[in-house]
Amino acid sequence: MKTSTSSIKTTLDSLSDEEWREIITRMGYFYMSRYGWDRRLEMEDVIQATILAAYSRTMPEGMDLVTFLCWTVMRSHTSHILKRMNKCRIDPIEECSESELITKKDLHKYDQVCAELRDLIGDDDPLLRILVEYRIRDPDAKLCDMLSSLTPPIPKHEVVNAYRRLKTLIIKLKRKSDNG
Amino acid sequence: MVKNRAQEIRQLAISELEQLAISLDREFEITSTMPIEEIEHELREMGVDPRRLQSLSLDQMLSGKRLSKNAAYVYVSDELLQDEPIKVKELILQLRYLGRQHRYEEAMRVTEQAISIAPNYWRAKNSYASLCLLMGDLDKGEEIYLRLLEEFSDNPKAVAAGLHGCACAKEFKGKLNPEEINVLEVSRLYEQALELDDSRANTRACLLINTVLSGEVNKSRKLIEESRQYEGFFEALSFELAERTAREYAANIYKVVQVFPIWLRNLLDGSGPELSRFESTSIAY
Repeated sequence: MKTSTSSIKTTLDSLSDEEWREIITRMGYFYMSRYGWDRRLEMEDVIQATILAAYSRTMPEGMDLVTFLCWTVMRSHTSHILKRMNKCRIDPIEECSESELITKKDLHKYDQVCAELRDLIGDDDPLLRILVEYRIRDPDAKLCDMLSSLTPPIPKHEVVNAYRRLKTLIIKLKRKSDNG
Repeated sequence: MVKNRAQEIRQLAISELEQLAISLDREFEITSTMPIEEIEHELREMGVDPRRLQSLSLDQMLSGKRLSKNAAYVYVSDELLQDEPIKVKELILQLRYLGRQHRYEEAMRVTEQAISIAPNYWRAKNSYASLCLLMGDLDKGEEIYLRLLEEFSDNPKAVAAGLHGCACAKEFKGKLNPEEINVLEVSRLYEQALELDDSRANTRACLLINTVLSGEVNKSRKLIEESRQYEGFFEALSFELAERTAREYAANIYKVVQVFPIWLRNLLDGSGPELSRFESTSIAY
């Protein structure tokens, strides 16, 4: 839902019940995808805190409401809460650029992680393979810019399908990892 | 060692894949644009029932509290402990702390320790019963309270606590919904408890709420006038109103508060009137 107004309060107050249910479901999905593993957090608490924090805020015109609530407000709020709890990083190598990895840790380990990534993806999924290579080459670069520079450009629905396959692969790997 | 290293590399690689998924989501606004049916399906796959989320309204979110489906809650006493053996006293103080923190399983273990040290100590048994209620075993909790009434029949404080507990058990069994509870019976139990121990501010607050719910308006007004002199009454009433308001099936506490005199409503809302108005409105309902 793209908004023409900058007031979150106005936008939220004007939602129909059905729209509200959709927004909160998407927020739950975002929470579970990103923080679902973290036992220090409660989904409902985080969503409620996000809504309360967002209610008095303004949003850039034309921005998508769910994107703003999840990527701007929930992320910032949760990061703050987790830091306050025990000053722990949210993800092991989240927002850690390639150069940081090399200078911080050993290059050998980095090479091993890259090799493992290529191995996990395999050769059967060319688009996922491209995405992983982009990630390895420049973790800070925008994937959408990279993909649109290809000839022919990759349509969005193809990227979304690749995302679904990636999520399926992650779930499979995590289950396997949990089972030892 | 080699296996551990391989596992570590695997974990880091999985984390990188997750990071890639997050980047894709952010850049292509996938969370916002994926069909809602698919989002719901994914949530179920992750073990979350979407209906659980969808039952939360914007009003509940903005009110700063969500409605709890669990009817039971606890008022932790801060009554001075004077004659208890030192070890028991220590355990009771720990138990009170854990109770305020809502760490009921740990509190239960401490209570069991206290009972093993002092099997005839009524407070420990009373706490045990309260914890049974909080942990969902309403029948067992009520049974212990009833036994407390017999075992300590010569101790007015213990009997008062037992009567209060029995009333709570009945309220929780009816999910605090007056349509599911014999409100008059519950009121009588609170009343008897208060007759035996008039220092019980929490019992006073519960009695007042149930008296209003049972429609005994004049009696409730008399009780308010009497109670305003008792230490801790306002705090206990405020606590009871807040806890009951936060519960899904509880009575509409807003309507209960409407029966209170203006000075008390102002006081509870945090907008306390000036002293002269306080005095003049206290008798004019």
